[in-house]
Amino acid sequence: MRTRHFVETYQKHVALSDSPATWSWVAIFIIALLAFPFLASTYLLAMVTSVGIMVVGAIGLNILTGSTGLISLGQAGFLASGCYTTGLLITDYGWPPELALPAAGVVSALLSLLVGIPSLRLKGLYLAITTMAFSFIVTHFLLYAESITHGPYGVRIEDLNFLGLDLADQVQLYLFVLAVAILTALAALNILRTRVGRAFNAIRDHDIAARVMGISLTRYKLFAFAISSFMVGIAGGLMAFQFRFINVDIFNVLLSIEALAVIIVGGLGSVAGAILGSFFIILLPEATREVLDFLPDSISSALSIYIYEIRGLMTGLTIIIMLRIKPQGLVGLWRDVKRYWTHWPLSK
Amino acid sequence: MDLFLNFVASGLVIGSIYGIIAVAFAIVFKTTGVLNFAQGEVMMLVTYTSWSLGTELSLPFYALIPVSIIGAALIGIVIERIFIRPMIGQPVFSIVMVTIGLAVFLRSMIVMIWGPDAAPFDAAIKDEIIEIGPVVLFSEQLYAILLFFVISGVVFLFFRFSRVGIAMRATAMDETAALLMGVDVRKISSLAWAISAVVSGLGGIAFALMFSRAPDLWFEGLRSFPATILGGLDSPLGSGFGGLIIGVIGALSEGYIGQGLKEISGFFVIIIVLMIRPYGLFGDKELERV
Amino acid sequence: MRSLRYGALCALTMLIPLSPVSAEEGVTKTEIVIGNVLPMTSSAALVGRAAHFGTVIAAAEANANGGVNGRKIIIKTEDDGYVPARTVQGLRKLMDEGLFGLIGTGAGAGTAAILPILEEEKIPTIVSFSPVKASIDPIKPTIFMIGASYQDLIFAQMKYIHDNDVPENPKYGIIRQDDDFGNQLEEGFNRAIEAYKPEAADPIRYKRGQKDFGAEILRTRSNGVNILVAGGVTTEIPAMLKEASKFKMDLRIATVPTSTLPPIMKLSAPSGYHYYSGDYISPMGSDGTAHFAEVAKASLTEEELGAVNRYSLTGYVAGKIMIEAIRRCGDEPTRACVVDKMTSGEPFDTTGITLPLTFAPDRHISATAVRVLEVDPTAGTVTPVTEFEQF
Repeated sequence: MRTRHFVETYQKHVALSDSPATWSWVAIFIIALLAFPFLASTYLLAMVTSVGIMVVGAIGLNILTGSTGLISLGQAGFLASGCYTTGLLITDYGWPPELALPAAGVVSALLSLLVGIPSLRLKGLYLAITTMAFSFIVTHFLLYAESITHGPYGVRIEDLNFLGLDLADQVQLYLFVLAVAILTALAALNILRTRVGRAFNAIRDHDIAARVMGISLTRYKLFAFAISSFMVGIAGGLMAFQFRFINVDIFNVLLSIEALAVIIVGGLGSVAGAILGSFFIILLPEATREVLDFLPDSISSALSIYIYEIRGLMTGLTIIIMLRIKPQGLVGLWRDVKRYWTHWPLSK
Repeated sequence: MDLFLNFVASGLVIGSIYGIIAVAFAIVFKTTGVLNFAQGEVMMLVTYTSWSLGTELSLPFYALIPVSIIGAALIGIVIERIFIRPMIGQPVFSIVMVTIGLAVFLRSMIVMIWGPDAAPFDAAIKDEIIEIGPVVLFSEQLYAILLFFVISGVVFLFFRFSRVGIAMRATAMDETAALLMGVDVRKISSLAWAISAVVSGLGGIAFALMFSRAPDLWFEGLRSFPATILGGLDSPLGSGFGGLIIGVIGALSEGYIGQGLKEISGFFVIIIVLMIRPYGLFGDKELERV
Repeated sequence: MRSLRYGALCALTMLIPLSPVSAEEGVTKTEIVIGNVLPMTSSAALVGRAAHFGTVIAAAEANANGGVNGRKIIIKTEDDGYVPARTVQGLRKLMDEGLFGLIGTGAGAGTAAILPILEEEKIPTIVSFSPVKASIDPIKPTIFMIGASYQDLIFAQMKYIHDNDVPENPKYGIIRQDDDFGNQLEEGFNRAIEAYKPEAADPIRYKRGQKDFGAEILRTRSNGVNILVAGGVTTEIPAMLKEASKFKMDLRIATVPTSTLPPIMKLSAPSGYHYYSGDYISPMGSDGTAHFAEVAKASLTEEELGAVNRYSLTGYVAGKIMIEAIRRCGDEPTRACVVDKMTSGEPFDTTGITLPLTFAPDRHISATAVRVLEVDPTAGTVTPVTEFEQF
């Protein structure tokens, strides 16, 4: 039984995790995810693909908001710019998807600098609303610059050959998204363990103190913006692959709020939190649907006209109750479960 | 010139609604530090309740308003008691998240009770045409502007002079000190929700009188974010005037530029203003001591 | 904790699909599944729900008469919340659970988003909720459409106003939403401008979800517009009319069919305006809809009946045609057969809501003739002022 965490060697310090238990859990999780397409229905597969895309975006947002303390309500804008970059480059400029996807990240990162520079002095909610303003301006541009973006007609993406994968196929898309999500998670874990990551945390905890310690606020805040938006842009590009028809309607402020909800529910500042939160927020409405499907026909037909409202009620209530029980989010819950297992049978 | 004045008037009308909702946002934020994402939904619940009282119980308008105010206060208190109070002491983020969940919950609940259709909110004071010089307004539009100024005045006097208002400001400034001075901090949170429900509810009623009582009313809550930020989150009065500014700029930019800029111009304005004053036009500059 | 592990195991096994083995998707020995993806929530719920219940009525009618060659018709509806990406998700969900044919295809952009999937999967589809030209132009083998495009609906009204009700110094104007729906309206408007070469003001675009039209109407007024396309989706129309009535503007007004829905008429009444609308089906409450009203009453609950409106009619017609085509295929309906029967040229009866409809291999669209309606919102009446005409 481990009583405390003692790191004794330098190797242990830089290792992603020194606990074989964690490694084996992660391995089991990944194997389960790899086996998933052969077990699940295509719809469920599509939902979990959405979760994967959300994970990429949420990890990005978590670097900005959870680790650096810069709240953003503008994720819809960065997602939209990534999604349109990929879509337009493939459709109108004939770029191969292999280049169009990273381009989505680059464009979003560059745009984030555009938002980041004027926002350097802003804190908390003032920053949040500025990023929200930015996302409104982006979608407005996408809608009105018809000659570049097809405006209200939307963009249809035909070519989906990515390094020999056919991304129009649900299973291949799923595996591809899974790979991107894993890479993103690894990247984030690595960034957060370095000097950069510690600088981010220092800025979140007390920016003036961080500055006194020699951390350049300008550089690191912008860096956080860029890394985060790069990931969010990639998530946007993946959305283009998934929907194959893109249009600005989905990139509204509710999506930004949902993104924030993911990381708060999951647990701020942790990669695991972003993953758990994505599963929770995307699959919750599905879960409520499944629960309602179990109702006897007589009840469910009497409720037929309200079925969508009932799902909304349940979704809202579940979020509220979960936070009542575990205000630290799902990561907190996860830690409790873990402690229970490690200390068993002494746990109470 | 006539056209210009009419644009301004039109902007003031919608701006006062944004302003009123922004005041409600700021009251909760100032006293509890929480940005209430469910403010629009609370407003909607009050408006729908008041609509039912007015339409189905056919209460006359002069009786409807006081009843609605009491109803709104109760709604605010009940919501705070059930959903927010148990979260006190938890991280602010978690409380904000609860308000997001609450928003989803209320939206569904309202459609379930009242259905998805829009309906007119009728009242005796509606539909008269009032001409002030070259400016033409409906009576309910004029009342919306007046309501804004009344609310701003009352809120100002309340925070400035009333015992409770001062206690609320004290809590906002330093919760522990306020507690030590004998202020019941829990009551303050409850009061803040009640007041903001009343304020936003009145705004919602004014809005529904002008347009309709419809299930997308909650969106006006999100629309009023920029006003709150422009004025300064911790300044209820400033937030209110932020609403007027955004309304007028929206109307003018639509009038003279077009291109759907009405809904966007406000955002350009806040980006520019915040670059110069990062704490909003009327917000308190935060002094940080290391 | 052990129970937790078992729970997880059960959850995993539940993921394994229980797909019925059968000759055709969505057909079992006892059932045939027809799907809808419609905005059942959001601001478009008013029309989405109505369309859903239209198809439910068509299915109930068929089932009350013993079903289709012994099989029951099941209607499954997914909500897309008026968001195209969710239309795609909804369709995938339906396909997963077994879907034979599709009727509700979401709003305009939603329809555009799912067209490639429908084509790939060869799902018989009758687009009726939001007639978008792209669904049948170019022709897609399994996709059919009922109804005139918004372009035609607007042009028909412009033509009527130009021919019969033209004011002095006519000047045309349009206020429209800044999405694909608005674009279609503007195309109809532009067609009229090219045809009649009148004076016209610049089109005004507004953001989806906008409520206040003060500035837009002021601009329209200062431009001297007296023939206005009020291009709102639902509550935007009364909001525009109300602002216009403030200045007692003398207006001829063209609108989309939603303006004939009771809640919208009720909101428009105080403005005092009469307005035009266009439609390709008989208005609710007219003789043509008598049979529909009867069936609706028999197959829906009181509460559900409250959600029925003009959009239920098109849902009903599309449902009826799909069911009839399946019936004509006999005991072993296949998708290919249904498409065959659709294009055979044999007419489909729509119980008077439209004239009997036909399709052909080179014409996958029907019921495109438009009639101009005059709406008096105060009296709540919708009166046809022209005969059905092709545009």
